[in-house]
Amino acid sequence: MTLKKPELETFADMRDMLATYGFSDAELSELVDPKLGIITGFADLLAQLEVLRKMDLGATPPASGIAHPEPGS
Amino acid sequence: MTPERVATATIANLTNALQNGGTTASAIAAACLQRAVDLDPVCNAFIEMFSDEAMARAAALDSRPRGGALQGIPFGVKDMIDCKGHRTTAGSAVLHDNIALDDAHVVAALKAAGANCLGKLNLHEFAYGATGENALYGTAVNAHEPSRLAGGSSSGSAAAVAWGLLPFALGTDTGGSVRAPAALNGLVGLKPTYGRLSVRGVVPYCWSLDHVGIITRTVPDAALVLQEIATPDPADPGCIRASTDDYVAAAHGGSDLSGCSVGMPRAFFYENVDAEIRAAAERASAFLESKGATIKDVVLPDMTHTRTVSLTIQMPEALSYHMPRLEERGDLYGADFRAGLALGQNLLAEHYVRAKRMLTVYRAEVDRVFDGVDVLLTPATPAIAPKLGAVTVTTDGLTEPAGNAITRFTSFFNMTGHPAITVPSGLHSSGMPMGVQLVGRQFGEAELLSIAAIIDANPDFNVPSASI
Repeated sequence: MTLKKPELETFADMRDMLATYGFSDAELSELVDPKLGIITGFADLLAQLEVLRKMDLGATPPASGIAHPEPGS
Repeated sequence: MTPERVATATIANLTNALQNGGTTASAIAAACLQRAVDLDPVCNAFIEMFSDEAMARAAALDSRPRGGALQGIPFGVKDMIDCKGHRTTAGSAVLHDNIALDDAHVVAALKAAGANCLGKLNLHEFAYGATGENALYGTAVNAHEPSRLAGGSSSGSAAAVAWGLLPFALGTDTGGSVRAPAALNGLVGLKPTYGRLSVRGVVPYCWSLDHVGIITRTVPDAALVLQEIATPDPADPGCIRASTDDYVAAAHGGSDLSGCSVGMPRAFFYENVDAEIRAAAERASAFLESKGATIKDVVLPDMTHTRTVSLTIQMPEALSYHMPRLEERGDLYGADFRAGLALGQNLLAEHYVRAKRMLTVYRAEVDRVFDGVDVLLTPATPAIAPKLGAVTVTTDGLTEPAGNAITRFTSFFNMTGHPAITVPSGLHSSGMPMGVQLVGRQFGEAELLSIAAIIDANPDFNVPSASI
């Protein structure tokens, strides 16, 4: 499946319909048309996440702490 | 000991001078503070100096019988880390009135060891970024070339040590924010295993990836500091309760590497790297081989999606921590950080959980690699410190955002949690420092320090103190 490019209206609707923080339209536009250079495109990120979504991880749980071999630690 | 000598001295040098009567804690503190007053307008390492408090404590320390190795040794902390009675700003206007009610666990441990905190150090706002650029407090600059970045996000921690203002500093490392700036400044940067050090009293950026780290001039100095702060903290549920190894002894363990295997992950970690930095890492490999180590090529997990995985964990966790302050004083946040938080708000819960599951996969795959080798060896960074204001860095044909380049080889090991240390690997032809990264088994800090110390002790890899 090819993902549709996200649109500002979608993000604005989510902001207005869900219990979320009220980022401005200009800030949400950064997700659609990045200018600041830190976020290099939300669409690209979603496309990569779509690849990860299709990986079969079986019953692998989310990571938590790292167990130390010493008993009781 | 002259003030000039204090500026380049290791912790071990200072301890020796204190023990043989060659100096006092007061003289050392005064020299460091005076140098900070003189140079901070240029290097922007400090956010706050504790001048009066530090001098009073130094006088009190001088009146005590000599104690451990850190008694009377000055240090500073990245301003994400609480010092009782002082502001913890995280480099942001958002926390301008955030007075710490207690010391962070790691600060309390250093104070208990007799170390003397001289102040709070600069950073990228809320540790969100590896360039260390900070519009509010100025940008910490590189001691070897002030037209270049110190790197970040623990920019002030690296700059303070490299400019000779402090012999060591603490930082935080969520994607390489201790190791990378240390490497860019010719210093040693250590990130222990995830959970080895308490993060209580440290402003969180991303709980799943945050580590406290240490910046020093030598590997034995890093071992000294780790020995004091790697104490269990029952009040931090993420801090392990296991006893520590003898890190100090490990860092002085000799140079025979017979029976040791060094893994070279050539895919990704040796690609799109400055040719001189790659050659320096190869020389470090050959040197370890000459000491008896076996060098093996190893294959780490596919790195294609690792930055996506990291970002998908970082931003929702950062948003969760910052939500109350966003509601109360959101206009005080920097625009770039707000954009990142907006991204965090628009990821799906399943994206976040899947990314956390990928961490489990990555950890298991790297643990399997350690069935066959004792440490991994990589370049610390793909390029030397970028110029101030650089937006992108191009290395061997690859152009990427400057912050991504700085942490390209370090961030993966925040996801796997393995301990990692960066050590100088010599000077680039540009005159800038280069570094290598060693990565060890989970909780294998002692072995990691022992091997890193061997590279550190070889003058061929030394980076001289910056000429200031």
